[in-house]
Amino acid sequence: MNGIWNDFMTHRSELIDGLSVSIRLALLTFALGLPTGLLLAVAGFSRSRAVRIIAIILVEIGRGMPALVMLQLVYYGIPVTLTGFLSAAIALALTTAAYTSEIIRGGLQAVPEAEIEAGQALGLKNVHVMRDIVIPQGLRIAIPPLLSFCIIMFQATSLAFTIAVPELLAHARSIANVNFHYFNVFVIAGLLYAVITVPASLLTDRLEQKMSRHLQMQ
Amino acid sequence: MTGNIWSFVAQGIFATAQLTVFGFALGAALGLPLVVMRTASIGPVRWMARGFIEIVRGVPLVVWLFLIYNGPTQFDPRLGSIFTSGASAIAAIGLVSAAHMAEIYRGSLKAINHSQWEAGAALGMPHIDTATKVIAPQMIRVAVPASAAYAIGLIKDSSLASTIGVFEITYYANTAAGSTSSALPFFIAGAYYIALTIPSAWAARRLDIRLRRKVAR
Repeated sequence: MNGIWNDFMTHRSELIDGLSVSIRLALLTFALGLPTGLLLAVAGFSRSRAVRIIAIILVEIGRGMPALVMLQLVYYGIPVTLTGFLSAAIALALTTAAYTSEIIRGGLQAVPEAEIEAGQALGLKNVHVMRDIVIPQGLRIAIPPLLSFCIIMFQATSLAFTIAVPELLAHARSIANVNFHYFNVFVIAGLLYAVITVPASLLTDRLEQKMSRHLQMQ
Repeated sequence: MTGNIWSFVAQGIFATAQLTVFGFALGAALGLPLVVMRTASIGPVRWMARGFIEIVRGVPLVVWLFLIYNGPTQFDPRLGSIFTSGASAIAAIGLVSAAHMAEIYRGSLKAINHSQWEAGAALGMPHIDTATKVIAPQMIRVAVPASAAYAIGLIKDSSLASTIGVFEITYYANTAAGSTSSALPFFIAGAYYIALTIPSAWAARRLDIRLRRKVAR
């Protein structure tokens, strides 16, 4: 226990720096991935068959491919040289978009059909029905599962060490490879991830309970 | 050359399947005692299980991999021969799946009407018999779709085992990419993963529909 604390105090600045890179990477991933996910979800409702099929194919590829493979593909596969950080954000955003489009689609489908009909009866264009009626309500329904998924993607940023992004796990590995305190250092890294993810998942659970209170019996 | 890469990367398919199957089996088994503790009536037992589940799920799988694979060598380098990369990977995947499976089991327990416990008690059945003979068979059936979805996710998560040197699909793709200096092997790896997951997802959906038909009435 003491050894773990000592290792943490010795390397705390590197580890905290790493954690902040992880957090920034996650935020950029969400900023790129969530709007793309919404776009893919809306495309899934398109009246054009071609658009729907393209959306389905993109989503299936994005969900079928491991995030780790996606990272390597973007990093080595894109002919333009990007920094590791940007490649990681793009790769994780693609995975995020594929998964969240399904979550958002579920939310949009949960909006009662009658509301769409009411909008059409009022003479709203389809674009406006989508933008002003379905999306605002559907997204609200999708918020808890989206937050849970964001927590998972925050954990997935740890894979970015494979393309030399200096995030938390990369720092932990380089520290452990020098002082050989593998156990201590990885316990510290794990706890630093948990410090973010555990409270976040507890808050998500609370929010979910609060939002679904009207559905509970008794 | 391209044909070579396809068969080169394909060498990892069996290991990927092994990691998924053994890791999932370990998790599905360990999840049972965990869900019993998680729903226990004794407060401290419940809190311990909850804390364990939250921590295990809150730490990324790669960190567990490194912790289990490299961690023991800090105390004695000889432990490295016990915690081989394959065993460590299955242990780490099993650990993380146990926590997730416990939550899936708990969700399906909640879906079973509480009056069945009361019915068991009213018939004079011991609590343990009600749990194992009445509730558990239904719980497992309700848990099938979510478990199947989780197991399919594990196919992809098992790719992380390449980081500790398990010879699975991603590992071979990495090796091939290193020697050909192109991203093609990763496309191929991705194609293999998709080829593994899409039929599994389809089979899971079929199984779910079948089971639901049996239960719903």
